[in-house]
Amino acid sequence: MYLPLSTAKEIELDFDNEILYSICTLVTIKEEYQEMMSSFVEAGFDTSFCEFLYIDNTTHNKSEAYQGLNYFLQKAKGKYIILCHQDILICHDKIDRLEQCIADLDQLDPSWAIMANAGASGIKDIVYRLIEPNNVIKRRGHPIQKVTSVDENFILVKKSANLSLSNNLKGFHLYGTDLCIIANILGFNAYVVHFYLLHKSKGNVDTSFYILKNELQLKYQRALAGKYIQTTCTNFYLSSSNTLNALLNMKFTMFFVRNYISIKQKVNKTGNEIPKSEW
Amino acid sequence: MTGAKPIATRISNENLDCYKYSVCTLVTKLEEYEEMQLSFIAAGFDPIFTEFLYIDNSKSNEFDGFSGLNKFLIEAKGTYIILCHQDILLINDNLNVLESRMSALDLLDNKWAILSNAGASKIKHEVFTVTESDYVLRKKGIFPTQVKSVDESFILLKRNANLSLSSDLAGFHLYGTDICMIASMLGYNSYVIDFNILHKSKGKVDHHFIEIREKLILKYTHLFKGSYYQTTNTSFYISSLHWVNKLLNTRFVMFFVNSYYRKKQRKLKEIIK
Repeated sequence: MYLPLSTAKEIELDFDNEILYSICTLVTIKEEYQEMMSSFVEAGFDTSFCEFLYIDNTTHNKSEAYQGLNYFLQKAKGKYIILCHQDILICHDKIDRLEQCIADLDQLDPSWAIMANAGASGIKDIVYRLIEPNNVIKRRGHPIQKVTSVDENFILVKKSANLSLSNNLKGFHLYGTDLCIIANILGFNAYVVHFYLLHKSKGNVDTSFYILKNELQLKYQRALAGKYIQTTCTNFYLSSSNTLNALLNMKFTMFFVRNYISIKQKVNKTGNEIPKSEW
Repeated sequence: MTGAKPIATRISNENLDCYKYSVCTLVTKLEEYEEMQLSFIAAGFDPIFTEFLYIDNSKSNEFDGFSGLNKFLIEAKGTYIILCHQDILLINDNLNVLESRMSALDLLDNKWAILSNAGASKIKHEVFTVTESDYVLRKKGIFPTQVKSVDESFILLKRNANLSLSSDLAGFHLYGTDICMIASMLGYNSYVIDFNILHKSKGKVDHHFIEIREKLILKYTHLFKGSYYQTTNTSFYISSLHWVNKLLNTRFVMFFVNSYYRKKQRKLKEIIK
């Protein structure tokens, strides 16, 4: 007896998003958020093809940034997800400029997944396009530039890249850097583009920033540590060193490693082997 | 939020998923897939709360393991996403067993995001419960065991962990290892549970497997390399070595690094001028 295949759904091969942009914001000041939203609509982000999503942190912090932005990344329906601060205004460049940046990036690098107006690619190699509250235009570097971190005031993410932020970091800082590291791990790239927006504040480098900076360093120090990987079919050593990998993945070395662990297992036998599988 | 209400939607952490389970399969043999689907339904995965998604690779490989499963991870609407081979059958343990194992794991570790019936924690530490085509139950290890890789025949993921597979790897092997690596980087854990499935094949270790293995090692070797990160507010060095991080992040070293790059930037500007 077979079920009709109609009970299953064949996945469509192309993304067909009715919503083009999901604009996602953690809100602490309602009036400021409304002003930001209006500036988006006036810049061409029409509600017929854009959704505005927010987490209400006005009375207390229901979600810190890592958890909150992970909610947005899951629930947003747009082809592009914009994660932005409530204190920005899209009052200079409009949607056509942003779409031009997207088209340029599509041409330049189909593996792009993150776009921002500010970021950095290396030490002292900071690049940005922004307008300060006194209407002073600030620019540095030469976009389009590939970066390893982006500023959190305005981040555009491709929904199809299915990005996430770390589940083991908490707070309101450095999630732009974390997102770029995760994107890089998944094989995607981040860019700063030529898109001006007004950012009312300059960011807050306080004690919580330095705590989070240490936590991020420690997290990735552990995550990037060399390790043996065993699968049900093979095993190998992974580390940052080509030499060490080559040495520890040699048949000769693996023979001794496997034997050492087999002997150790026999001495401290914990699992019941019934019968030995031939994976 | 008077003015904002008509167009803005408040996001909350309520669970509004349409389905509890999404069962996702790359299909090359439609008859075998239907048999698999039937076994899921007989085991309690009622289509009322389970969506069955597939990619039709029966004529040509539209998607490989990495890109196809990434597609499922984006499109699936279930609270739990099951990525499985078409050649498995749930004829031994059923949905009740799976849910009791999940409840036990929830109590043990709320950071779990991946479950499987087979995997490995370290060298020579394979753990599995599986019935092979000869109908003999093969079991090894203690359950549940936290693992670093899972077998691709049956993988259950928490959708809210928002996991992905590498976009720069392709093929039909080792994506179970890749997803465990990604989960671990994001701060989640993977487990093998005592859940007996029938798996008709034993897997194929061919030249494609060896190629993907090499590419995976190369990819992570490159990723694990230490590097300096500059943000708009700060800069720091991250590597796998604690003492190197300590040394390169001292103010003394950072002063010289910053000065070196500042000079380099100035020279670059002069050249551009």
